[in-house]
Amino acid sequence: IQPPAERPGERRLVEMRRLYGDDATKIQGMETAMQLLFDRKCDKKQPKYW
Amino acid sequence: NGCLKEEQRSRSTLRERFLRSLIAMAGKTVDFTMYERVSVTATFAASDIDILNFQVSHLQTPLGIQKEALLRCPDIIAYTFNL
Repeated sequence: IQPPAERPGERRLVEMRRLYGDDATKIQGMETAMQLLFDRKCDKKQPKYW
Repeated sequence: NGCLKEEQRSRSTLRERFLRSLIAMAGKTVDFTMYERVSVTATFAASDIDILNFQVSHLQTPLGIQKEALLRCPDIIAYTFNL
């Protein structure tokens, strides 16, 4: 087994920089916050697909 | 490159506005228009970041109310809510 060739999330960070330039960190921060909220609510409520 | 910078700025402005609209929708009653002429109403809770799933509560369907549910975003044609 080989060690990982790149750090996790690095490719995403490069992509975010390409898309949003100087605002990449801000957008990524907002997205992370939203995803955490979603994950937390789903853990608590265990919703099923309708 | 000024052109690229301008494009990135427009993109981040649009993205931020969209994310803020989703945040504003939390806890609000939302009407969803789905495929096959189905309309449902639910209280919006949260969305995942790829905008693939909407987590909702009190989903009023033609067959009754579902307390907690996930809506697949690709099944949704449009949604509206009052600010």
